[in-house]
Amino acid sequence: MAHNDSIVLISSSPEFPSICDLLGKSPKKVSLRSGSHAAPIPEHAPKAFTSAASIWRSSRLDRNERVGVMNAEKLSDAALSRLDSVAAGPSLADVATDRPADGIEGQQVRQEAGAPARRRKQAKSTSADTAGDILPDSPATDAPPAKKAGKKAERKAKPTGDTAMAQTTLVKGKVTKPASTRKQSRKKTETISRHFTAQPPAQESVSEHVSLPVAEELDVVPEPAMKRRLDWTPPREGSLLQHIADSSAVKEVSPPGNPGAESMTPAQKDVFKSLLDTYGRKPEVNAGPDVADTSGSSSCDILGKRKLIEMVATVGSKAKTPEPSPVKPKAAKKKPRTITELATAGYRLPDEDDVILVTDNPKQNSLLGFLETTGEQIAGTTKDTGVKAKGAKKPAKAKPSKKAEVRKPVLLSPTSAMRQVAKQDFVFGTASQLATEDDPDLLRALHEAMKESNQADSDPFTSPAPAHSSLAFRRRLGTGLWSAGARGDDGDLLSLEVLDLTHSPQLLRDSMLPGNSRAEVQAAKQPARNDKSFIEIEVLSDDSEPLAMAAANPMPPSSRHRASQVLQLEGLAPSSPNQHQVQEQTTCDSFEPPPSNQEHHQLLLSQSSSPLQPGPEAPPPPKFELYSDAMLAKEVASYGFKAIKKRSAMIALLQQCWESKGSKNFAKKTNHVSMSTSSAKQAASPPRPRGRPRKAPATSAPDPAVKAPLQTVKRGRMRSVAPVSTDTEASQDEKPAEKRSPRKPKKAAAAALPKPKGKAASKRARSPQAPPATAPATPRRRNAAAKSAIEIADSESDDSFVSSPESLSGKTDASSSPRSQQRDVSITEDTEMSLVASPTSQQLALFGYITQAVITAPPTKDPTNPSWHEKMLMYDPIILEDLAAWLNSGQLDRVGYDGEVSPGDVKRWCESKSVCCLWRVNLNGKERKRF
Amino acid sequence: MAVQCKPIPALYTVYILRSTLRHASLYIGSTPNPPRRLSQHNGVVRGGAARTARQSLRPWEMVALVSGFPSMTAALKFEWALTNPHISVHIPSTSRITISTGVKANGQPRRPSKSLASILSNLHLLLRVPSFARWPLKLHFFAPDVHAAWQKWCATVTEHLRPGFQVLTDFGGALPTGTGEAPTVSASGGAEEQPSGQEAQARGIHALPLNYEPMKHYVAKGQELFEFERLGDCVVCRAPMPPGKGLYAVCSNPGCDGVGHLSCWSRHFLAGAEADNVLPVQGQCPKCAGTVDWGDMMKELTLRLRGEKEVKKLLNRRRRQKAQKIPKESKEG
Repeated sequence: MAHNDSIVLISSSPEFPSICDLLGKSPKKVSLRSGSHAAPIPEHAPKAFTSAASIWRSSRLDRNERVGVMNAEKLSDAALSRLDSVAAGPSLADVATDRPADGIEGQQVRQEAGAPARRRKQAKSTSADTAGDILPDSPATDAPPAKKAGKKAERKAKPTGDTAMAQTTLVKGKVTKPASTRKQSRKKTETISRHFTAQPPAQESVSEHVSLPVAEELDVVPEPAMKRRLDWTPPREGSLLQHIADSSAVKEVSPPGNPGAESMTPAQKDVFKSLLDTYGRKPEVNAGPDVADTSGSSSCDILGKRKLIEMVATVGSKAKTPEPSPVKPKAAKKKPRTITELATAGYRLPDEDDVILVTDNPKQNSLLGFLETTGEQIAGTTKDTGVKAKGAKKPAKAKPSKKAEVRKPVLLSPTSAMRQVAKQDFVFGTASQLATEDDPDLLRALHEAMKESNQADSDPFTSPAPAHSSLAFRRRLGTGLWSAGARGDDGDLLSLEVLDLTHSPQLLRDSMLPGNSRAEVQAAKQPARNDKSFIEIEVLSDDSEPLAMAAANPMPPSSRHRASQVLQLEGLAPSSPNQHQVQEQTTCDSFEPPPSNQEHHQLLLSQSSSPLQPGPEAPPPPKFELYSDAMLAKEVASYGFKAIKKRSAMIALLQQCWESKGSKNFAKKTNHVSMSTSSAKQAASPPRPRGRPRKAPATSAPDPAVKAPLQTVKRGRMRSVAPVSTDTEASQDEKPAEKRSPRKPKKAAAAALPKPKGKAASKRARSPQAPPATAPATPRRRNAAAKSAIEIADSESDDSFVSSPESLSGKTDASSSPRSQQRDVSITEDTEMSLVASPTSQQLALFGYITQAVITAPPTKDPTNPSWHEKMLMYDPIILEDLAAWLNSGQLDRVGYDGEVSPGDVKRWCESKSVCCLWRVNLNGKERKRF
Repeated sequence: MAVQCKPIPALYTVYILRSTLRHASLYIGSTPNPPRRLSQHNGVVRGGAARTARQSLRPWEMVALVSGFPSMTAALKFEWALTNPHISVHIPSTSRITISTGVKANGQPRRPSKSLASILSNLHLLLRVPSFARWPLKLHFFAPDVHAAWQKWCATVTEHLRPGFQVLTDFGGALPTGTGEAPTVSASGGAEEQPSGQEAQARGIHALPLNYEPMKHYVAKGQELFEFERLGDCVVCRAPMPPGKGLYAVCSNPGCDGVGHLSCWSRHFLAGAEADNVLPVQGQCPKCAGTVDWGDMMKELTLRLRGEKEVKKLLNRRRRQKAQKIPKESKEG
């Protein structure tokens, strides 16, 4: 106990100054200190009130009696302070007051400092002892201070004094508890023990020891203490109440509905403000005691007390709360601060930690752009203000689960992630532009339109050099379309386009809004809408398709549709969009919208490109078997793979790479085609990587309709967007009530497919067979998209490219055969050889052309620069790439062969003719210098 | 053309090396100078292959070789194909004889162990595959047993080498000092030149011409024709051939100064059944009606076009030694 006392002294002294500061009773602190130590006391005594000296004496006596009890010191301190304020005086009263005060202080200390179990035990024991004695006093004393608006006193005193309820409440206010007697103290101790693990045994022992001396004092104490408290309380309450009152108030006062509860809430606020001060001081104070008592972290305990209080109040299980609470603040603060964590916060799976984090994280999430949560957070914040900690925690906890449900972070494979990155469009513009135009779709569409128009103006045939190859491909197509459209459409279209541009943004917005809102509200409905929209689009596409070849015709029907659609949209839009705008905004802000936009753009691009497609055919799969090892190595390196020794492995890898590459291209093409042919395909192919398929269909649906008309006009894309939106809305409006399960879109699409043309059906039929082109593990949707793309490719060939059968065959081979080829290659290279050695009839025909081209070329006039034929005649080694380039540079055309040859083909030809041939690069990957 | 082409080498060979002590040890290599290379393999000169470095297998002998490769590249391709008949892309899978049964650590099919029979069979195969069939190759045998095995194999194979393919035998040259039978000419090939004087003893690989000496006369004729611009008209198309304005080939037959456009020669030689081929093999000179090997003609042409240094060297020596050597050269063809 002596041990404790010494410790207590230290703790008590710091505590008092805090109180004194709050109250403006600095001298009392000195007295308190003096009270704790005999020697210091005389020194301080003069500083303190003269009355205090008597108090000290009494306190000394008490202490002597108590000797082992720490609380005595505290009590004395508290008594001093109280005495100062109240001046009620007598030592007995002082002592009594001291005890409650001590109890309070002890609580404070415990709470603030995360007081070691011993202290609490002691304090409790003392409090309990005192309480047992004071019990009668406490109610009386408590009552007056409560009247004076001593919040702490009220809380503590009233509950304790009033009824058993007080006992429960007393848990925190140990001083008041004494009224309830040892039972209460035990209960308190129990609760405390729960909070602080070691308490119960020590407390009992201490209480027993201390109880006797205290009991004597208790009789006198209660009444004066109350008065003193009154003076005391108001200032203290701010500080003390925070710790004690918060917990106690919430627990004790609020449930019973005592008047104090109401007052408490504001008091709590005050407490909050003062918390910092108290924290700062007390940890120091605590540090002293902690060393002796327990090593437990003082700061954590302080925080923990809050949490404890909160936890107790909310849950009712007091013991559990304290432990988790100390951890929470630290983790929450630290985690958000790393950039990576911030960036990845949205993708984190909800863990155990999340519950803790949630309280702090929600804001972060919102910052990250999850606006969805903001509403919840706001609610949470409001709750927090009203209920403080309790309210805050509850909503916070609830939030995390909701968030987790809403967003399911999709972990993308590296390839898919890169793809997605590639898809992301960066919208550049002035701040005003970016600010004024809310919709990323519009901005992007505008941006694209601007680019294409510029490109078309500058050089229709020059290929833009975009960062992404895929974009480049599309854009080339687009430029071609633009040029074509410019020729065919002439003035009318242009004028219409301009008008469309002006209106389009609104239309888009309107359309987008309802779609989004609906999507959020009803996922099921959209598919149906989409289907309808698709159907409409299909009709449009039917019109446009035949016309697509002739640029002039397609425009008028599309424009008509647009106009009608627009009208519909205008009429329809206002009803739904307004309601959903808020949600939409949130959604737009959140990540979801961008993908849709991207898709939209892609669709637009694809639409523009679709007419051009017949020209660019999928390149025939390179025959890696024919490659030398060096070539293979180079190819492999070009794909970014490390060098592979095994030839078969290299070939297989290259085949796969080529496949995937081809599949991408095909997918793009297919998308284009699908857009042109039927929107249903799009529906079948889920465009969105992330999660909400609903929006995608809405966006995609408009595209098909737009594609044909828009292709011609540079700025028409804006229009195109608008018409699309109109279509979707119109369709939606027509059949808004339709509610279909999310799967239905596919079904609907399937149903829609047959309508447009038999092609769709054929596509579908093929689709299941078509293997997913993308090997890497990507979300299902991606795969599905790939499949659909492949399907589309077939359909493409069927539909528009009948003119070029070879290209079709090549495409089909590329898409379908590669796997079989791979297998063959991997299994045995001999098969490759056979391929080389036994040219097909097609190859033979090609060889004939090559031979003719070589032989009929005019002989050289310069002996030093022989023609290819002459080189061959002179047994010169032929560089395959050069010869292929020469053949492709018009020589084959001259002979009558419409197409190009690959170096591999040339190699076969050379070998069939006993012409010595070489690759430009030797096995070491270097260019040959000698032959 | 970025490639700097050299004239067709005077000699480039792919040879089959066999250990005289252990006949099962075989080696396939290529060289423009078989005697030198053989000495390398035998350790007489530095530069032998590790495979042939084991003393227990030395000395080695060249039992057969294929000559007439128009370029080092061609020779190397053929060598590789003959060394790796199990994976060579020049061999159609249907006619592939050697099939790999295993896989090496690096994934490549394991090369089956070689035997004389397998090498000869694959040699026969490669000499008739489209990739090499029309090259101006000749096959030389320097060991009777190998030649016997070759003939045995040829008897069992239904396909035959292209007509006119020369298979030469010279069994006397196994050892440089040894004296053997006179070279016998099989098939339609012309007789090996029989050196006289010092070189009379040279047989086998040592009898092979390592330089352009055998075609001195031919080269000299070409030089003379073009030096004095006595080209006349193309023997095929009868069109004038302005000097320096194209590639003109000269008939290889001695005494015939027929000159024609390169493409005209090829067209002339390929007229008929071989119309779909690019490379002629052999043909008749329209002027002298003599048989002309395309390889020889091209050797002269490339030497004239690209081998200025070689020609000078050749002709200078010829001038110096003119008196002695002219008679020999006449034989070359």
